[in-house]
Amino acid sequence: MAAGPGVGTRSSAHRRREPSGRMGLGRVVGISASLVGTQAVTSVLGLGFWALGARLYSVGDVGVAGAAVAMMMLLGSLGSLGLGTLLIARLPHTAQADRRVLVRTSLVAAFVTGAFLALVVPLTAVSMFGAENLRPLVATPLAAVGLAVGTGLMSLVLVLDQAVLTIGNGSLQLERNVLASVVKIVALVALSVLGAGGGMAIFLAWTIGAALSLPSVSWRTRGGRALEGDHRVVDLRMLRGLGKMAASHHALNIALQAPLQILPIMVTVLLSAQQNAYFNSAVMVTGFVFALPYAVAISLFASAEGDARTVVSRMSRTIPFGLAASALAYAVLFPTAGLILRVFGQAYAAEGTETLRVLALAGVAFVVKDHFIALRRVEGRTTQAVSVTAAFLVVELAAAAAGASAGGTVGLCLAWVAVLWVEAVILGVPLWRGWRAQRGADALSASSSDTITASTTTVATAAMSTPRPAAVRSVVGAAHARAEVGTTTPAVSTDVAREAPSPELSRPSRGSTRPAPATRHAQAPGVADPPVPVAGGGQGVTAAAGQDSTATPAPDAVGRLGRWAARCVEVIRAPLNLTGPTLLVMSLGVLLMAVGSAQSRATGSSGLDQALWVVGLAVAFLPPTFRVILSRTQPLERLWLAAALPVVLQVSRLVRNPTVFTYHDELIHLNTLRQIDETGRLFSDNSLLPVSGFYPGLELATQAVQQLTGLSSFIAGNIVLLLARVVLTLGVLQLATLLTRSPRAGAIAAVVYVLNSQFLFFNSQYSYQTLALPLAVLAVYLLHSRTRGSRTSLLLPLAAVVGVVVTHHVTSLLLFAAFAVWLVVELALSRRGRRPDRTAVLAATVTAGLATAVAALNPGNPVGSYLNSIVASSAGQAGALLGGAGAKPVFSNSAGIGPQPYERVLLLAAVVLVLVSLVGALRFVRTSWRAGAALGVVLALLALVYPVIPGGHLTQATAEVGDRAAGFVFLGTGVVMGAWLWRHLVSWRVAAVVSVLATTTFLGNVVLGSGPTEQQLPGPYLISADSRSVDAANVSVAQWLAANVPAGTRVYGDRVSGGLAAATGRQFNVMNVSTGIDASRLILDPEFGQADVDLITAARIQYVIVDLRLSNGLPNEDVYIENGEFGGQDRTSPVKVAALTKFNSVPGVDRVYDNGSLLVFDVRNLREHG
Amino acid sequence: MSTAETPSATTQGRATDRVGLAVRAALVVAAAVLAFFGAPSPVATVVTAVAVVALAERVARLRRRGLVDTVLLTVGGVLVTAALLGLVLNYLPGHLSRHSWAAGAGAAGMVALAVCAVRPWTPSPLLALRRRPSIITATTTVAAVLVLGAAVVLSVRSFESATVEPLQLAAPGAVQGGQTQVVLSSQSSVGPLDLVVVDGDVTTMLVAGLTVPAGGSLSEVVPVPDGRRVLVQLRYPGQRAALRSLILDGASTR
Repeated sequence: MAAGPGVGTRSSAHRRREPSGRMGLGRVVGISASLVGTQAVTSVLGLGFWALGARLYSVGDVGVAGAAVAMMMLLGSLGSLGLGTLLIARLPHTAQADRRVLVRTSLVAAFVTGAFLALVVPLTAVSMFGAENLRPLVATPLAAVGLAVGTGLMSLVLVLDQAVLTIGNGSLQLERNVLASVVKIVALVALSVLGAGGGMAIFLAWTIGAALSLPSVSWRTRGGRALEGDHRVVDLRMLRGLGKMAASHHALNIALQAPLQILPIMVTVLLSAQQNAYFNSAVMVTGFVFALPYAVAISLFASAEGDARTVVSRMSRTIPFGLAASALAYAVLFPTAGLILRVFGQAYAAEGTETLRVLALAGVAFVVKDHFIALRRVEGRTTQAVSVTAAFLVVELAAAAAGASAGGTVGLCLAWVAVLWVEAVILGVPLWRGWRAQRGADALSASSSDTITASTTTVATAAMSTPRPAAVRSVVGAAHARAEVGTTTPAVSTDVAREAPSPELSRPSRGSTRPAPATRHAQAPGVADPPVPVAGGGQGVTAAAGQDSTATPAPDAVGRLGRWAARCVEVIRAPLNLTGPTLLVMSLGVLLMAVGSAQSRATGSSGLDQALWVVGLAVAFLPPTFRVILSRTQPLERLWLAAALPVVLQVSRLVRNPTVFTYHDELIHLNTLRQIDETGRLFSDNSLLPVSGFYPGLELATQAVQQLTGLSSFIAGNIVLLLARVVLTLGVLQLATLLTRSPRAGAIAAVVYVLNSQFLFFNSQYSYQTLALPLAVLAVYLLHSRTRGSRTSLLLPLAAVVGVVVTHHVTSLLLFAAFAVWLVVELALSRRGRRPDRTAVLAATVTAGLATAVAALNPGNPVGSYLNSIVASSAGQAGALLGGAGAKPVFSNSAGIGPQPYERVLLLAAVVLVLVSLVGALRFVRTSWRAGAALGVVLALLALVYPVIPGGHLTQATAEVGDRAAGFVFLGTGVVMGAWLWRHLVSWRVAAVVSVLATTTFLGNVVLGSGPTEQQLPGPYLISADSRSVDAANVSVAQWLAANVPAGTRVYGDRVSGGLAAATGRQFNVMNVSTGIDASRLILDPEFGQADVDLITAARIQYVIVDLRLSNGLPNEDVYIENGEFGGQDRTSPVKVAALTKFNSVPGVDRVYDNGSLLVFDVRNLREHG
Repeated sequence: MSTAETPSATTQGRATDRVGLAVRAALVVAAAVLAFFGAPSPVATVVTAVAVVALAERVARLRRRGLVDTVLLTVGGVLVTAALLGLVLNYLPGHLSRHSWAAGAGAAGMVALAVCAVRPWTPSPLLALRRRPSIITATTTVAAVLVLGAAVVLSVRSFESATVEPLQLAAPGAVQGGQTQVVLSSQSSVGPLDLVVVDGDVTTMLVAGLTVPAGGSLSEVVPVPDGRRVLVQLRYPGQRAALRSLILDGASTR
């Protein structure tokens, strides 16, 4: 084993050269020539295709087709999943019998992924983000399916074009591309003749060309069929374990290709399809003009055979050549740009000349950038290259967007090219220093030639098979991929070994060609010492340095940055206890939120404030999540951080509302608490929500703290909320730990639970569910963890059950239901021979049911009618929705305010990610069932209810129900995800990716549950917007009422001022929900009449509170006052000022209070004298 | 059997536990007494917190299920007990008051300690936390708490500076003898203002150039002739538009 390939001796190096030796330099040159030829021929034919299209179709159609093709290229690249690069690396090491199966499987995977992306992305862009200019792409089902098929084919051919280089030869790729190009031209003419109109007809021609070129490949490689071992068409198991390997190269390829694929879409979306027609034509020309210098430069790289020193030394020729070729091309292009564009038509020449001239300037910058990328790839510093490229990509796109808004298409090109030039300057520094250092190290270079990886040549060249710029950008990555799987570069191999799962957790798939970890480990000893645990871009370099110090580039800015990052990563990766530092970072996140809130509070939130808030949330969430997920984190640290995260987020609530409870539900419970304080009795008549007074568990806990310590109700309430948060977190953690027998799974479950859409706001507010939910989790945990066989062991869980029933009606019902399901599963499992736990579960079920019934039968408790109204309303609206009516706007509230585009992206990403996790839930149901874990089955089933949450947002009534379900559903999601992640050994890279995805889900779900960031932040008064509606003006009224009007006096106000009048002003706010009288016309009807007097008399109203600001807009929370209010059905305009001021002119009514925003009318005279 | 549960350790532990139970009982009584007599909040808070933690931890450790379970049961047990105790107190004489809470909590605590006294001794899982944290962990944790505190303080200050009660004009009392009292108040200083009464077409200046002090209030007597409906307005000097306005009806019987 130790003598296997990769040992760093000269002889072994020669052995490593054998694969490439078979291919020979001649073949390399042949493939290079083939690629250049392919590029040249397809560019000419492509130019012809578009020129013909421009002649046969309108400018708008060409623009649409250009956008469709750009979309196809982008999504096709994404959909290829890096499988093409991977096949180049894997196929030589795959048994002949399996090669074609592996290729077919990869092609199918790429086609399906590409097609899926093309179905989802354009529809989302159009329907969710209003990208109307892209609508023609999905205007009809036929167009949408056509785009999907075309994109799927593009993914497929991208993979195929690289695969044929290994299973066939370079000419095969040339033949296929030429055939496709010719066929699409013929198809374009045929479609035009047949009268097929629209941009998608041009796209269809492209698709036909790609489709009809495939049989030729099949025919030309038919000889391989005889070598197939069996009759498997595809075998998905062959792709197992390839993801990690493909990911980094795919990421780099995508980051490099993205700009030229995204820019046409940006032009279409930001400007118009017509502008994109001109832009697309210019891009076509630049691609053609620069194809030759780029291809030659890359061929020179390929001839370096993957050796970094050779690459550096040859830069002295390739870079000047590339720059000269680019400059020459530009010199030719500048005066002839208009002339060339006339090929497309006069309009193209008139509109696209400046664009082409600016775009062509990118050529020089590309030469430098591509050299940098190629060097980094050969060095194995792919991670650094990805980071740098991705960062620049963001800047490029941002600049392009800004340029487009300022100066149209030319502005976009100017801004983009400017950024490219800046990149070239920055990236040129390490190239220059590397070359300079190389000159000084020439004497050493000869002795270090062992590290040459011959196969790199083939692979580097192979990757050129994709058209420019994709070709340039995927080149040497393929070489790196080969090194990773294969047997050549020890530096990379040791890295792969280090990141591989432990033997007991790794599950080699059947039929997999992946080398055993031991094989890859074996390469290290002969080469260098065990690798220093550095990460990211630095690891390849560090390992390479063990072989040859001269291969390490000279110090440079990017290099220093990379090493600094590597050191940071090393610290993170090491099994240190980072509890304290992570807590500090989390608290800094909260501080950022506080700064954003402070600035937003007075004047309303600016973009910076919102950014501070979101970044603060991410900073508070991501680091602990990363540490918790990471396998090597110490258990105690993981525990502390898993517990600290929810608590810190609870504290962050104080950042928003630091001294008072302001949410509507909080006002309700403050009112109950006040009533208990004043009367010393429970089950008071809470005018804001009568049912809440009959479930006073939260208020009792608060009162206990308040009375025993003398603290204020606000502080006492927050202490209770913090304690409840601790119980909830530790409860979830312990439950998952019990079910999986892994504290790590428990900690992950606790963190995943934080992702639920109600966690940050709704389930942290002073409301009964906030306490009842933790107590329910506690009850389940105590039941499951009790000592079996002990008579008293049921006391604690049953006490917790009663605690839940005392606290919240819905939670107690759901707890009862959960126990019932648990019992059923226990019974079912007992039939399968499992040891049942049915007696205890039955006792809990009966207790929950009886206690819930007793609470419901408490005299005066309106819980039945209350829940019935919710069910009826939800069912009614859901029924209407099924009937095609009643849907509410998905992305806006009743005031028409909705999340910004980036928030919509976060929201959708969150929904998709959680939906994906449901696959894990299904598996968890199965494994729990097989293991006889009834509670596991129940929790996994709970997780499967998730679609109700986003689905509920389709109607107003179900939105609230769906949202409130999140706190329950994520109990299951947390356990399922905890169990799933626990089964995998999570390296720092995986932990980083998962943490970022989790942060995305967290931020998206915050938007889903609490609205846009703008409304999450504190700020000036908004109409009927929960806590954003509580301000000094309406609090002043409540305080005035408390000081000047006898407690319990019947008053009438809107949703907010009425709530404050009750909770703070100590009054009885008349509401339909508490009195059965809808008095909303008093405030909302502009006309005053006998009906008003009758209402005042019937409801015994003495004061009417009017907020004049209601007339400024529509309510954010559906209603000004409460459901069913006057004029509330299909309201489209704000309440009239006349309605709010009508009592001014009513004789006998005194206006006794005015603070500029709110008025109080004394209507006692009306009540008494009509 | 762990070191903490060897026979000698158990014997020693039981001896220590008797002292511990006594200390806990004293704490519970002290907390109850302080609460009963309404001791200053800082004192009552500290003593009550220490007593509750000490008591609940002692009860929770009976389950012998480790650190997290003990913390969970300690906190959860306090919340459940508070809710259930309050429910019981509601039906007892005295209902829910400071005195009943103090007595009830004290009694519940003593009962819990009595249960602990008759149950087998168990070492505290919190002993696992005895290991001194590293200087980095300790320093950064303290810094984290301070930063969190700073965030809250920053928010409190910003909230207070942004939440300023507006200028208010109110007539809280009834019209008696053809006049009533109006009150002006504001959290920030406002003025000079004119207070005028508009009775039909007649506008009467009641007070000119008055200034409402910050956080203070002014009251003025306003004539409201019987049977007349008058407007009481606050205006900036020289302006006709009303800044605040009341409508008082002399015929009102309020």
